[in-house]
Amino acid sequence: MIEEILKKLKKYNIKDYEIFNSTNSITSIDTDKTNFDKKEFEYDEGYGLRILKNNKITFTYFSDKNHIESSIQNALKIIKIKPKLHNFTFNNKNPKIKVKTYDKKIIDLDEKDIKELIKDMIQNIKYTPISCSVIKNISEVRIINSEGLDCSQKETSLLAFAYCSKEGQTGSEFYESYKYDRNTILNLSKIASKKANQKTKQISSVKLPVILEDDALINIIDNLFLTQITGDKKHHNSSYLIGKENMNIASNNLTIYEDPFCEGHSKTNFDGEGIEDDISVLIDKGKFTGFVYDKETAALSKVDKKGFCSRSNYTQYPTIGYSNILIKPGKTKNLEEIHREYVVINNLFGFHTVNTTTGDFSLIIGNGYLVKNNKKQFIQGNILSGNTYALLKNIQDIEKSLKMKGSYIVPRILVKGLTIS
Amino acid sequence: MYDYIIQKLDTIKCDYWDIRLEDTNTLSLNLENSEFKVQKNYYEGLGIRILNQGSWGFASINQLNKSSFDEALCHAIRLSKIKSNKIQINKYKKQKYKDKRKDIEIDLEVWTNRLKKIEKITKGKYIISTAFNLIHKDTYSIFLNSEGSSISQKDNFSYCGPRIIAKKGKILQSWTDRQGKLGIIEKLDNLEDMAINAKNKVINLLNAKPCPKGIQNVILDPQMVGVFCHEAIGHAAEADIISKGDSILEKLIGKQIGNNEVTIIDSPNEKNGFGNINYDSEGVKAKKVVIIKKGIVNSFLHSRETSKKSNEKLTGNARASNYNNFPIVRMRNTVMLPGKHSKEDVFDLKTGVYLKGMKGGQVKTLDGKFMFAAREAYNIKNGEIQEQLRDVSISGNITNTLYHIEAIGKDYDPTGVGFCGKDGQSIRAGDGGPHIRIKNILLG
Repeated sequence: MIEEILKKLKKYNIKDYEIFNSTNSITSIDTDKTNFDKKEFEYDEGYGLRILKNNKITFTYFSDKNHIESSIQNALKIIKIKPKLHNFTFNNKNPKIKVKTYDKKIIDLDEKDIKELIKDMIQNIKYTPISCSVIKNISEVRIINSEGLDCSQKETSLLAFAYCSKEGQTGSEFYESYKYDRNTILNLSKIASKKANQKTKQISSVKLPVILEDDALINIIDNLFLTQITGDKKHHNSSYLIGKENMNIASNNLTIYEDPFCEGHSKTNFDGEGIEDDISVLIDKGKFTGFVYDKETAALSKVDKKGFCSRSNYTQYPTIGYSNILIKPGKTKNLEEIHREYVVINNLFGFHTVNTTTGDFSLIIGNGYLVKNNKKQFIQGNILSGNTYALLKNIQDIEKSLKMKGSYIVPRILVKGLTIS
Repeated sequence: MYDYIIQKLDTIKCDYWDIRLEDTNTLSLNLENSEFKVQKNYYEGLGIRILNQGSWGFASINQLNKSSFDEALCHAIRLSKIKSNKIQINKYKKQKYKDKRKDIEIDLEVWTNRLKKIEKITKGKYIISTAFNLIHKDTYSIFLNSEGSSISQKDNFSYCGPRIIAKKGKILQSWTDRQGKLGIIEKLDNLEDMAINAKNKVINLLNAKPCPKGIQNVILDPQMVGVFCHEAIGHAAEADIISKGDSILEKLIGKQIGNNEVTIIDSPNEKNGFGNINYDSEGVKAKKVVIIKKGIVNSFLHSRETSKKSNEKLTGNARASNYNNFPIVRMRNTVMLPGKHSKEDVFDLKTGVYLKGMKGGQVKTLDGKFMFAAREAYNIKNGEIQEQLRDVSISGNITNTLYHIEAIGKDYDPTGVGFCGKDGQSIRAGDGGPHIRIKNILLG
């Protein structure tokens, strides 16, 4: 197929190009309570093509050789209205392959193994199972371009989810990794059961120190910080953080960085433009290190930055994205020993409602507890409100131990006085 | 190719099979601060579903040819051999239907020039960023099944929306709007008015006060009512969620859960409804479902599988977002029907808050807890609209809230536009209703 594409590119006198080829084989099994309801297989293979002509770039994709020519024609039609780029060239340096991005154990899992795994997950649920599911993905990515780049890697991914209820209270937990870890997956059911067993209630309004853990912290970082530091947001004047580069935007105990080589779900050797990955600090002891870019956005913005291009498959236009995100651990063994009265929040929902322009949020507490007078009261349904940047500035302490969830590796953090209503 | 498919599938011993073959053209045009992002793409594929001795197997592949079909079929058969508790489905009479196929050509020059003009309208004092999005999706699908049905449908829609950001001193606010129509892109109307409105609204927001938190009486406009119907009621009425034991409505059929003026339906055929469909993705003709009738839980949304399981009639609610998705129970247009109150009656409130336009929302279907944000909100005093508020959201519990509805307006707007996500599938869906007044709801 690559030969066919090159022939057509030659026919249209296209000298600068990049071909992104991906294949995905996805097997998923999902239960309705304990019944193996949906069993699905999906295979897709295709080519995303970027063409550079007169300092303008255009994109198209196709999966069938009969559509190569019409796709190129479409791409050339739309290139006319695209903005001019400043000094854009495709990546000319082949990345070194430093880390393994797949697990043979996932490749070897067949649908019967997945069924047995789910059976065991269901058995580990103490209360009423609502659903358990496993999704396995084996993919291969290859990027070649007119600058001589030719890099490829095989990737695996396993997603498992356990969801149950007890007397109207639900509990869920997920696993997402490039590696197969059976024990952690089986433990999901126990964590989900524990959450479903919490006797929760809504508490009256309080302003107390809050410990953010797990999903709550990850969702805040993901929805309210990482989305605001992409170079396109700066280019289009739409981030609250414009003008705050190299300034303290968070408490000086907070360091956030991207690490493509660590054991998180998004482990990779290169980004979506074939650029060799490296560790990048995003917040350094409270200081915002600056916006992140892929090559195209950088050329549009006339800055010399790169390395943050994300592409999930051949159909996706290259956009700014991240690999694994880590928060540097602190020194405190247990944040719950600092204050006598505090709230711990594990899960928040309602992120669709936040004002990403200002960072203001009002979110419903899905799981958490209040500690008062040495008693623990599980809470649910209260609203946590505040502002992301005030929250980042008010981080009082960070715990020593780390937890990995998907592409995030994070400790628990303690935030001074947040309003819970 | 179709003869080959039918011939091959007819030789397979199974309870039921269906296949969906689709091809789609998409155009996405985005003008952000005078720079165009544009994509024009084509994709195709097929998805085969087999029910074999009460066990489903589904496989999809992104090519439309005989060898792709053979490969997908092999996988579907293999997966169907993983046994489950015996699944049964409701049968449906053979259907023959064919939409005419018509290629839609969009004149890029016309639309890029129009967007440039619209962008000019939105520029001005305080405006620091503008974006205008235009999307057209045109799908042609062929559905065949073991009952002998052959349904060829076109499904095309156009969608657009501005996002404008304004700054005054340290205050930063943004405004987004949206409009969606089934059919060709020319059906989108008043784009210029939409842009002017967006500019005015974002500037007004700069002077809006933060919303007071706590229990308040509120008035919701048809868009907010639509989101409430979709998120809080519609999802809880999806029979696959009910089957899993994950819905607050599970055991409430025949029970009063709200004011007897409240009737909520899911309809496949509303005037300008963004969720209108003809047949669902299981080849079943889509029918209206009355979910709540005069405050009483009446019926749920079904697929072939859930309707058989609960001994209910087929409703045509099984939808798949693309060829590569298994059809699951989804909404079409979920709306509250109008009541008997005039607008003056609905607004007859000493103090409260008027919430307009949807900005996002989320619901937990099992305990019925929800949270929705409004795009704009105003204080109400003695029935009059007062100063504007910002960052307003409401939260509560589905059943309490339905009892707290005090007045339902005579007006009716079912043209709310949304893309609903469930199990990784995104589909177009509509919603709406009249203005309503609700007492004692938590504002945040």
